[in-house]
Amino acid sequence: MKSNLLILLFLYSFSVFAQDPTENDYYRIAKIAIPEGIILEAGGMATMSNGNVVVSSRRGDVYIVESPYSSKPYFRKFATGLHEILGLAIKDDIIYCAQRGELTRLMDKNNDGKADKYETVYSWPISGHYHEYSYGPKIGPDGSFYVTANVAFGNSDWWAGKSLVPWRGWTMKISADGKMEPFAAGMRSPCGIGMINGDFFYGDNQGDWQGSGFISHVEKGDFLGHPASLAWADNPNSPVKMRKEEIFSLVDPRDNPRVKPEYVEKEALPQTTIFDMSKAIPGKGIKPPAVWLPHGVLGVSTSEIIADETKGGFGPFSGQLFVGDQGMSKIARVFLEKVNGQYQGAAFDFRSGFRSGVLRMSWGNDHSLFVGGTNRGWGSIGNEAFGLERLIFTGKMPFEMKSVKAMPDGFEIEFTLPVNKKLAADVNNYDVSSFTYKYHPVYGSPMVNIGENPVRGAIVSEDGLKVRIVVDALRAGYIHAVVPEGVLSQNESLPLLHKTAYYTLNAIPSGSKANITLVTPKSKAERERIDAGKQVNSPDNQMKEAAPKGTPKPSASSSSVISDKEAMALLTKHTCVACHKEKERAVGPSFVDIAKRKYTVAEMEALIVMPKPENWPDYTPMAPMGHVPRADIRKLAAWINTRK
Amino acid sequence: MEKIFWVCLFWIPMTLNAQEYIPLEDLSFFKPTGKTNWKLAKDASADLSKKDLFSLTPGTGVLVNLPSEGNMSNLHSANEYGDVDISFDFMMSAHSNSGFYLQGRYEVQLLDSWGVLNPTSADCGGIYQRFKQGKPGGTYEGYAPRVNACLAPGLWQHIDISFQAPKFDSNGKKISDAKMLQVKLNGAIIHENVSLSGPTGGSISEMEAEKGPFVIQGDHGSVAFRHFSVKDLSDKPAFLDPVNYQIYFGEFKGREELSAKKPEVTGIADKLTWDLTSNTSQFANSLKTVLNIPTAGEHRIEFEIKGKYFIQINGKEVFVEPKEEDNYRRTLLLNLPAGKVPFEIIQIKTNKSVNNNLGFWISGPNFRNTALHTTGSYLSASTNEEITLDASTPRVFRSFMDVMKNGKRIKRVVHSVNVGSPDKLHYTFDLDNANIVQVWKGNFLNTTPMWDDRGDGSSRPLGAVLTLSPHAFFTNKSTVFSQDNLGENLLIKGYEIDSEDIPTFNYMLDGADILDKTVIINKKHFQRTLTIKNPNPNQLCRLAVGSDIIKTGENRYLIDGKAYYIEVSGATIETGDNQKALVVPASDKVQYSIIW
Repeated sequence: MKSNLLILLFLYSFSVFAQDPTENDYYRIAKIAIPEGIILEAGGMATMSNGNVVVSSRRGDVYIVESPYSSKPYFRKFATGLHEILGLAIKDDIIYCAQRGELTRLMDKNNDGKADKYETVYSWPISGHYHEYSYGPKIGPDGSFYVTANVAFGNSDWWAGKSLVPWRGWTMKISADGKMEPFAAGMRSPCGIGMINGDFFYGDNQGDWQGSGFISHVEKGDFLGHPASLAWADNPNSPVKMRKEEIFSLVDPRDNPRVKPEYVEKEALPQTTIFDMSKAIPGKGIKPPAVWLPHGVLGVSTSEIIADETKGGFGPFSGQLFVGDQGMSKIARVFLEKVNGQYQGAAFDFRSGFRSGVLRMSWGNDHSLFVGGTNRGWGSIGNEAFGLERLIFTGKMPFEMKSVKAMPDGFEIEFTLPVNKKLAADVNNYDVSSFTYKYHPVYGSPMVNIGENPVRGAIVSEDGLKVRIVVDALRAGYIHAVVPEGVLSQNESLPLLHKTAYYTLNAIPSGSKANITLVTPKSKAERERIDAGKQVNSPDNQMKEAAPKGTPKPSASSSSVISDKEAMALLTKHTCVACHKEKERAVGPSFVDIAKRKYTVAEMEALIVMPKPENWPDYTPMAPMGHVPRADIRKLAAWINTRK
Repeated sequence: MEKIFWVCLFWIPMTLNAQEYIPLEDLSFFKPTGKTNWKLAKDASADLSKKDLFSLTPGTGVLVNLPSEGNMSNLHSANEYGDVDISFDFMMSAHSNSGFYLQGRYEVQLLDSWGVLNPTSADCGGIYQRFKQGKPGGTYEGYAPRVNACLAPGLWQHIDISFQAPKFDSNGKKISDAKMLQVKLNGAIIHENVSLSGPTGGSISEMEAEKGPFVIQGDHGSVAFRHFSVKDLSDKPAFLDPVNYQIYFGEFKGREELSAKKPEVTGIADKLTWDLTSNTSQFANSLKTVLNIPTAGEHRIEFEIKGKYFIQINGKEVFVEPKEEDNYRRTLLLNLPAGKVPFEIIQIKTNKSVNNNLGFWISGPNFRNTALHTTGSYLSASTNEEITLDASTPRVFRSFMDVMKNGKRIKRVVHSVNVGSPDKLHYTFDLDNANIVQVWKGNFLNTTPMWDDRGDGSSRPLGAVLTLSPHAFFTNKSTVFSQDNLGENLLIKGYEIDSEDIPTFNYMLDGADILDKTVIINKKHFQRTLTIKNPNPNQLCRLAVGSDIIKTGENRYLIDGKAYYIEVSGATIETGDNQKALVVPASDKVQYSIIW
């Protein structure tokens, strides 16, 4: 992930008055006041037909929020005593929720506003391990309920996901009359769930065997990646054809319970990705992710998947998906298309700055989006323990890549506003690179096999809304980061609000090539520009924290320490700001706290490349950052040490 | 409670032993009383409601008091004790009253307080009040138990008392109060660190002393005792000679490297500590001292040290921690001789990023756990707030629930429903076995284990717990004693809550639809009613399983060594290997009470 995260541009002189736009200009976050004493820890959310919002807490309560659009919402406790609910759905005006151990139907038979019947739709096996959360339900077109199940972990091998009882790590499909069919396997931490036009989608979290978070379409018999759940694949009811032995013939499981598998650059067996596996072992239901959400950039712990059903009421992304993230307190956007009959598409940043982890989302009846969450146990950038908010479209059109479609020889980008045609036609204003993630038993994966993809041509449509770019060296199965770095809008010369599209190119469509003479772009070094004089275009609240409030006192070796602005550019480029703030604790420790440890530059470099979670036991483990150029790491290490 | 003055006529030298179990083959543990209200028996039984009805099985092992007019005296232990841990079982008869005095001066009340919702200091487990001298009727202090943890008359109850005697200086002036360090009644902590300013009412003396006998009150009602276990802890604790320390700066892989180096700093400290210089990131400390052990015997050391470390006691290496990352609290048992014992710790810290810690404790056959480190040397890792759930209104709460027996977890119930009541009687229902697995008295639940940080999804009962059967409730004649669960024959349907917030469970078993509701009768006990549609004629309801089941009335049974009662009609007792089961056939209506 090299050049695609350059975020600074030269602006033409006449726009020097305007600050670059921020997400807040287009989508406002409104806090919903939660009554004192309610520990909301939102884990489930749904909207009733009358516009009231139902929210469930991880503490087992279900609240109906009346007048959630007003300044005085009223919380009524509808049900209580449920076991760590992590999802709600409403069907025929009846509330359903997934507890740790069962799918429950809540009914108020005597109409006193409180549930009095807690009916067990289906009770599934559970071993009692702390990590065995169950998520859902999402309701399918046939009225059945989809529930996903977290794996457990080992004892001495606490890092290794395990499926101790059926159907942990699976999706269960439960009929309205309580019959369960095991539907798909290979899940690890399937907190992300969504029913999109009758198709069930799920999202997993980075972890062992999962290099990064992602979303996938789940079909019957699919294997989504994590081997633990295959313990039950032989069960007579299982539609899953994949077996563990086939995985382990291609990937060393390194399942010694005493030795935690750490990242190895070169292994004995050839490096593989889940995409490679799906090609190497066809017909067994291996389903590579439809859209990867690059770790640390678009999220660290994927949660709710919801489609924009507002037909324009929520802005220009009608029909696209929004995906929540617990750890980064943000929402990403996903554009989906089908190529060769399978879903794939592009993921973009959408909105950051939520006050807690984002877990669940639900549409209000006024096209606003209710967002609820919690961060207990896993930390989040938003530092409140729980939150309930409303995301509201201001009506102003942001300048964004509306969609990115795969082409036989590149991509077609559709913008929300007409582009400056001259800039858009210049191939040097685009950066495209590609990378993938390893499929291995190690916790997460760095971006690997990173390569540059030269842009050889750019055709701008007559109305200025679409650009078709011709890109070399496309690789099927790889994530292509498309960054129209130098493209500005025609009016007001706005830069893109979010500059990067991450397209998961599982299949390259067939068809005719673009009708354009190809050119050779300038080299990357010539294109790379860091203007230390412009403010970084980053999400609001991260910027407020990151921007230093004055020049720190020069130290003896200040000449060798980079400026704050250059540091900020590098921190953003290499996604450090995803988890670190300067003075405040976020997903990771603050730079001030890191500086207190007085590491030498060499020590910090080693720890950035290969982090030691035991050094910071209260924090989420850091992903290895060996792909970052060492020179940049050393510059940042020296700069971090000057923080006070 | 009148004041009774006793003068100690004898002083019997003590032999300091570790844990002493009193077999009660005879009354030699006690001083003769000159009366005959105190007797020995093999077992005793009392009625649930008839006052003072005690019947005895002849034999030994159980101490019984049957007072009568003119024949009632208290009972003193022959020995005297200072700091001590004592535990015993006791059984009250209905409306009875007794008391257990530490040093003959500080009373823990024993009373039939069954059914009392808000106990006072005069209730079972209370620390009795003090009487104002010379002022008729004036009382003060007195400490009510945290919860009413007592059981019904006729059941064996258990109490654990940790007591610290008052301390005096060389002139005999008191420098610290007597303390109830902890009192547990039937497993529930009812007192913790209660300072007693002076003797409670009915003491043998108003003068406090270093040692005194146990006194059991015998003039108030029939009561039985057994299983006395005493641990004399009045030894002075082990202490350290001055600690010689040598500190080496730098990053060391092992202690072999130290012998070639000269320490940067040396000196003498009072106690063990890691914090001796300004170099807190990478160092190796050698701490050499001598342990002064008062009495030979088995000692228990506890230590929590950051970094690599090596502990040598009495010339032997007793523990080596070779890995830097480890940071556990460890416990070791060691036999140590009396007198001076060499003691050395080497601590090597190379990980700059972690905090430092050195905690070291020792307890011995006759002294309590004592810290040998400075206050600043050890900071406890966990400072979690406790999160609890009360049942001031009836409530239903689901969590994982660990079922315990004898301090060990025998099962984690995963589909469990906990039901709490403002009557302070609560139960856990195992949906997979259609059974009440445990009942408890006191407060509802400690939910810290599930709501602090990630949690583990489980909660704990906050009171005196009675573990019932973890087995399935339904069985048939051939499987009465097998540990079966209901498996796929069971369809869980959930529960409905009535207008009083009481749940009725609903499930189907082999085609029979069952409604299952438990209510509280007279705020004193549970009554469970199952309504079974189309009951299976071969099916049995297994109401209880225990080591023994004794029928004590027309419909009343004592279960499992007199741990609780079941009241039910039409039941039979089945006998297995060292086990008995109380069963009734599954019929349209099965109803029984759990009384404890």
